Amino acid sequence: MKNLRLFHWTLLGSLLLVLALGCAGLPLASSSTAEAATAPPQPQAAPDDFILQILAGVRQDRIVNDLKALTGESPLCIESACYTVQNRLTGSQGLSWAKDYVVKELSSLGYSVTRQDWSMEGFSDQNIIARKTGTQVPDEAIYLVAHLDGVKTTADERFPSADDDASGVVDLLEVARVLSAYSFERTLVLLFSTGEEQGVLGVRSHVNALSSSELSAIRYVVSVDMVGYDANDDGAMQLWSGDNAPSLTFAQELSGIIQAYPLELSPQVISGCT
Amino acid sequence: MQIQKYTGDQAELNPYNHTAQDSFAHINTNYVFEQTKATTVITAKYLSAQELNNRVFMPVALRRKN
Repeated sequence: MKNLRLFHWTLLGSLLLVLALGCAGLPLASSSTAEAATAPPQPQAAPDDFILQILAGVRQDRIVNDLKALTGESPLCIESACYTVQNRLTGSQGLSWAKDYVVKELSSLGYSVTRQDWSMEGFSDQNIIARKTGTQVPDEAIYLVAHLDGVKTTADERFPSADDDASGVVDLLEVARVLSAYSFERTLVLLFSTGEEQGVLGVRSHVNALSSSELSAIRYVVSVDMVGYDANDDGAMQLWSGDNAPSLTFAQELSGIIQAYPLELSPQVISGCT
Repeated sequence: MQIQKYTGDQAELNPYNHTAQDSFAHINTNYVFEQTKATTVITAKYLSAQELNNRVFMPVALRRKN
């Protein structure tokens, strides 16, 4: 069973890598020309009043402030010291400041926060893991993942990596803030990984370090990556499921849930790219 | 709902990805706000006591390509 689960986790990592590079090294998909298949209509859930109440707590100003700080647009301040982040390369000073900032924010919200050292394929760094234990079924965990690191492809010192993936990091930070005021039945795990751009190294290391019982506890994983670029302001939101059948079903379910709430988004499910 | 099959022959929609221009200036902050609300909804929903009969491993990226 562990091998099977590791396979799925490895698949997750592989998919993220493939998505970053494109299938077979080719550019990535655009929805306008993608081959389309009609799926059975999904029942649209009614919005839950409790979740609507939670939703009202999401604040755009905090998201923007985090995004500016992580991309060097404004100083990133930790305690009394402030820094300008030029880039967040794995192993860099900028990434170290970003990790410190995430730890400070999540600790102040009451999350149990740990740093996980990893070393793989010639790279070393840390993942940041924040946990909020469930009240009824703490042995069932919901994972959210975003990668703190960025990539540098030219000699320029300044590589903000704003969309990829500061956008996902600030998304998770705000979710952490909003949900910190509530208790939930299941356990929430926020994984801020590093080494993603070198081959999803941080996530792979995290999975390798999980015990069988920890793997068994995981109910689902959502990776939030590149959620900041929408030049035409159409609100199109892509949910990538790969070719994993349960994930495809789940992506359809998520799409139905998202459409039930007052969000200016149009979810699209993208499959394939194995 | 349509499921769009990835075919691998389309252009990358974020032209700044993996460049020094992937900066705050090219981020749609309203869009990040909406995406964050979506993440909040689905997380709160699945953290609550609802039946999840089937274990689902979820290689889904909430990912924007244009």
